[in-house]
Amino acid sequence: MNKIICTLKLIRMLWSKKLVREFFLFLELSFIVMVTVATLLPISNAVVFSSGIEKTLPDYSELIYCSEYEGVSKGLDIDKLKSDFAEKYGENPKVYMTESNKISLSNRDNENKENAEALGSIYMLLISEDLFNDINLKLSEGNFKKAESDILPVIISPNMSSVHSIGDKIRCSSKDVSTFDDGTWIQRSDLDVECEITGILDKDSTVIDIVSFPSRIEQASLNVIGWNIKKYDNVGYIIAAECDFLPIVKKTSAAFAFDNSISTLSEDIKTLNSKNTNTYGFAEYNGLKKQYYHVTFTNLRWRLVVMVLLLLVLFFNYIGYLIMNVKQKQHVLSIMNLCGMSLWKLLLINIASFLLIVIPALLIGLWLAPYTVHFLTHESFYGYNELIYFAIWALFLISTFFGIAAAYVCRKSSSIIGFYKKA
Amino acid sequence: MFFQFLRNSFFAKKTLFIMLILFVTVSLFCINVMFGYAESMYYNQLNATMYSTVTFSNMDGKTKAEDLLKRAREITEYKVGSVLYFKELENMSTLIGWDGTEDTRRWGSHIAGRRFTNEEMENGENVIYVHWHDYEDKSLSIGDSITVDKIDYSIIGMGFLHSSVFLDAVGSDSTQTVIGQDLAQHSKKRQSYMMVPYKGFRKNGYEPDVVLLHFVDINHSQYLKAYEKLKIEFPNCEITASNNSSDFNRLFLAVAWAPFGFILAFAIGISLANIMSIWISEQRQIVYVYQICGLSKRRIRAYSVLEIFVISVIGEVISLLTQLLFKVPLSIIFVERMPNILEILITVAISFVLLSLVARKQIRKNLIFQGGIGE
Repeated sequence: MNKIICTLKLIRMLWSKKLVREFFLFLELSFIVMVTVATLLPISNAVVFSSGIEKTLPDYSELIYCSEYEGVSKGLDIDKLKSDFAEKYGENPKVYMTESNKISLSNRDNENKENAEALGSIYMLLISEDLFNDINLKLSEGNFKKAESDILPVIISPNMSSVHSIGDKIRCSSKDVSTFDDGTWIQRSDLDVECEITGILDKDSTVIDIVSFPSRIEQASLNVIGWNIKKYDNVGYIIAAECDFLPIVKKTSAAFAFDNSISTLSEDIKTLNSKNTNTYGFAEYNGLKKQYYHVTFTNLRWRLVVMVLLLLVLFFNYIGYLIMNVKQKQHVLSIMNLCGMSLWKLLLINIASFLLIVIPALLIGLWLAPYTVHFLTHESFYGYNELIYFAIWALFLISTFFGIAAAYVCRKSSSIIGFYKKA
Repeated sequence: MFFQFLRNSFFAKKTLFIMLILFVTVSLFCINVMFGYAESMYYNQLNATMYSTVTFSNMDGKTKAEDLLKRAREITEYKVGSVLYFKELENMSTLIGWDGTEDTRRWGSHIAGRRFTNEEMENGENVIYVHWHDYEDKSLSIGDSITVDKIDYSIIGMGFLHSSVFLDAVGSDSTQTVIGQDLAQHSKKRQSYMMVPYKGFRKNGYEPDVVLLHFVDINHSQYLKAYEKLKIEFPNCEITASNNSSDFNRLFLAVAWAPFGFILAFAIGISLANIMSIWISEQRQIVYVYQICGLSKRRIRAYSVLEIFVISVIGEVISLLTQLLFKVPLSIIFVERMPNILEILITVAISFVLLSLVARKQIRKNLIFQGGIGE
């Protein structure tokens, strides 16, 4: 016990006399973690989002996205497009389509139509049959089913789970005109359907929602085929598979999924866009992915420059601190060495004194980062991933190595006895 | 003597000197990158049509028949983004022949549909890009056919093609009356603009009344040079330059973004001051030797000041080289350009002043001159 207390005292001795300095190091390291997370945000969010889409739709080799130009509103001829693709690639593609409607929610059921209570407005996302068969939505509870009777099975968003639970029956209705997310309207007969909640979506899931692109097909990015629910975690929505009594009517965009890979896809997309583009355009999955990276970078603009430079500054400040720290400790370490402490033990307590500040700083930085990232970037944080962890550890290890190496080179010419004499 | 002084102080503690230069370089890199960012923003804005468009009007027959995109590139050697050939039709309608590689959005927001494809441009196909209001007023739809001046076109897209946008690019000295008729006459009826590919415009037998030629990636002085060259080359027509100068924008952007660089340079100042402190304390012995050898205090001060200036210059040169070396990764974060000469000089000057202040403080702290052997 005494040995441990002595070692701890030695560790404490290695901290600088002014504890404020150690405190600043602690703050600086925490801030390095937060700024690293914020700087990497465009890439890490894109990685999380694209891998989310790929996990939710795992069963295809190639995906061709097709959408009408905004303002056209004629509807895609899905069957013709499908047969054209089948003829070209010798494979009947699966068609992924969705339709989003703003609906009113009530607790009215078929038996009790008089005493209905309005429960507010939410979105209903209808998905096509092929999409239902292939989708692998991450659910926290329950399961996702197709309609087998006149009651529509639905899954609900995580924020609705505080009010509703599995097995609840709700009534979804809307007027005859529906407004869609992209601002277009469509005439649809009255939507009035009884639904049963069969599942609750997980907070980390990615929802597939094939929507029209905003302006040019080259500008379409991954968010035309899905979204990470963390970005809309305050929005209430339900997801259901289309069925005989509630089919998808808005067919302005679709994704065609192929089981086999197509080596000429990029060239084919260019040809399709130059030939058939009077009313609609095409994009391949990889093109959408590249564009998504570009968009996430563009959204940050000047913040990204400032954060990269800030990270560089913090990185060098940390190296500077290490140089100063090692230099200041030289006297104490020299005396300890002369008093008979082995070099290994010196090294051990030196590292321990350093890690006692660094590890809590890194942990607190990682804990606070999701809260500060929004302040620094004005963007949603989709969660930690291997990229962020790797970057933080790499940054920390590289800067520590540089700092200690530089300090060591600085003191190389001085002997321990020399320092002792100076002390 | 000064170079010997420099050599002794720089090479006496090599590692420390390298660390000092490294920290100065990082500070200056922050400032240079922010200036580079401001410069990139400036060049992005510079491509706005209001800054770098030349207007051709009252043209003779030869000029009307010219392919001005090709000619302007040959004459000025600058990049031409687009050339718009305006032909006045009946009933306040204006047909524009579009030629160029830049995005049509430079001349007004895109709303729906698409722009011309390369094939349509090459073949001069009868496709048309219409103004939003025409699209709305005439209940047109993308893919529909429209007849303009007895020629049938297929509508491929729509956007805002508005008189005010074109007029912003036309110099006030221009006597042209084709663009902005609705604004000039305070007419309730909007002037209707429609865009077709240049080759189609020519194929259908049109000759322009007014031409707007837009340069890209050139600053204001280069633009004025290009304008003068065009005036000499086309003496038989009226050529006017835009009245808008982008010079103020450049200054404004530099003032807006550079402070971030300075704040970051200050943030690294704490470590820099610490390293400077060690460096100066290590220099003490060298200075004592100089003093013993009879070098005057004034001369030592002058040499120290010059030494700091040299450190600033070395730091600036290395930071600029680093910026050049990392041009590609920096372009990902929208820093596509280097700072201009004036900004580089400002950075060196500020670095010199700040380093001198830090050194002065450290010299006083280390009492090199007070109470030393020379006193």
